[in-house]
Amino acid sequence: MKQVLHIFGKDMRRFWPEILISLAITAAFARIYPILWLPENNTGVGMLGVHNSQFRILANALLILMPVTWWILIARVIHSESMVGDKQFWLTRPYDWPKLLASKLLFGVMSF
Amino acid sequence: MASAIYTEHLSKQFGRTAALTDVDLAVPAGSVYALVGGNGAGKTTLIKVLMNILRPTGGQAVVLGMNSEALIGEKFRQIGYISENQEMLDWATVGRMLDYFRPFYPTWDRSLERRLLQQFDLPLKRKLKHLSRGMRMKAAFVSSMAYRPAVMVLDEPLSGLDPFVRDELVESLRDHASETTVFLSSHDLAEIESFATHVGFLEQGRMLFSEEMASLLGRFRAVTVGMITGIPGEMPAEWFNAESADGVFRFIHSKYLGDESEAEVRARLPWATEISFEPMPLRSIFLAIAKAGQIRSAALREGTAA
Repeated sequence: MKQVLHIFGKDMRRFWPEILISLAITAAFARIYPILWLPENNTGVGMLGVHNSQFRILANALLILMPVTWWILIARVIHSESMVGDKQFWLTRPYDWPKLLASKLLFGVMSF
Repeated sequence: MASAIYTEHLSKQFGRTAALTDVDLAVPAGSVYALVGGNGAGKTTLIKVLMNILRPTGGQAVVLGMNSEALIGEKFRQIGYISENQEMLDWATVGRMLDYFRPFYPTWDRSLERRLLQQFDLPLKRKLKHLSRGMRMKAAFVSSMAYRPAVMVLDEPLSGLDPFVRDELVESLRDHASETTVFLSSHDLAEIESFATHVGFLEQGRMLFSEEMASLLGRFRAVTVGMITGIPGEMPAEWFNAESADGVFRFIHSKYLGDESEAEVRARLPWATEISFEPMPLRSIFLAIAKAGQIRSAALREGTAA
C-alpha cells in the first residue's frame, strides 16, 4: 500500500496544475448547471449580471469540457509511467506492477 | 570467481534480423566489464536483454543468479541501470527525483547521496529538463549509485559528454568499483582502458572475444618487419590486417606469446632484417579488428554477389 500511495502522491504533485484546472471546471459546472433547471423562457439576469441564456451556453459547454479534462488528466497520469515502449525509467526500478496499476486506478477513482 | 552476470548462447531476433547470435560472456563479480563494438553491433540490445527490457529468443542471460526474464520489481533493488536513451523524471527537480526514488530502496545511503551530489556539484532545485546532458547523466548516476547496487549496468554513459564530466563519472565509477560489479558499453575506448578489468567485443551480434583487459592487451601486437624482399604467401590465422609498402611489411599479431612468437615470426620471414613488436592500446586493437571485420564482410558480400 505504501508504494501505491507513494506513486499516487508523485502523480498528484506532478499534475497539480491539471488537477486544479479540472477541479475549477467541475466547481464552475456545479455552480452554473442549476441554470439549466430553469424554464427555457426565463431569460432574466442571473449571477454577476449575466443573462441566464448565456449561462445556459456556458453550462452546456462545461458539460462537455468537464469529462474531457478528466480523461486528459487520467490519460496523462497513465502515460507518466507508460506501459508501452522500452525507454521508461520505471522498467528498471523496483516498481511492483500490481501496485503501479493500483495507484493509477486510485487516481482514476479519485478523479471521478 | 563467481559471475555476477553471464549469458549462454544468448540470441535475439527482430523478425528476420539477428541482433544477437549465440552470445556467451561472463562478468566476474567485482569486475568492470566493458562491452565494445561498432554502431549496430548489438550492445544496446544485449543490455536490454540483461535488464529484461527485451526478451531473448534463444539461450539465457543470468544476472545476480536470476534469469533475466525473472528480473522485475524488487529484484531491481540490487541493480543500477543508466542509459543515454532512458527517459527521466524531466518534470521533477533533482532533489524531488531523489526524494521519489529513495523509498524504493531499503539500502539507500543518504550520506553517499550527499557526497555524490557534492562531488558532481548538482543543483538540487533545478528541473531535470533544464539540465545539460552531462548534468542529467550525473543525476542519473546519483539516483543509481546511492543505494549501493550489487551490479551497475550502463549503456553508453560517457558518449557525447565533455572530457571534464567524463573524468568525473569515470572517477566515481572507479570509487565504487570495489563494491559493485560494473557492466558498461562504450565507444570511449581510451577512457575504458584506464579502468575496465574485462572487455568483450561484439561484432554484428556475435561476441568475438570476452576476456581480461590485461590478457587482451598482452596478446595483441603491431608487428613491423623491415627491409624484406618478399611477403609470406600463407599466413597463420592469428596474423591479420597485413599490408606491405616501401619495403616494410606490417600486420597485427593476435596471439603474441613473447619470445615464442618472435621466434615464429623470424622463422616465417627469414629475409627480414628488422622486426619490432609494439604493444597496442585498446583503441588500436578495436580499430584493427573492426577493419578486419569490414574486409571479411566485403569479401563475404563479393562472394555472395559472385
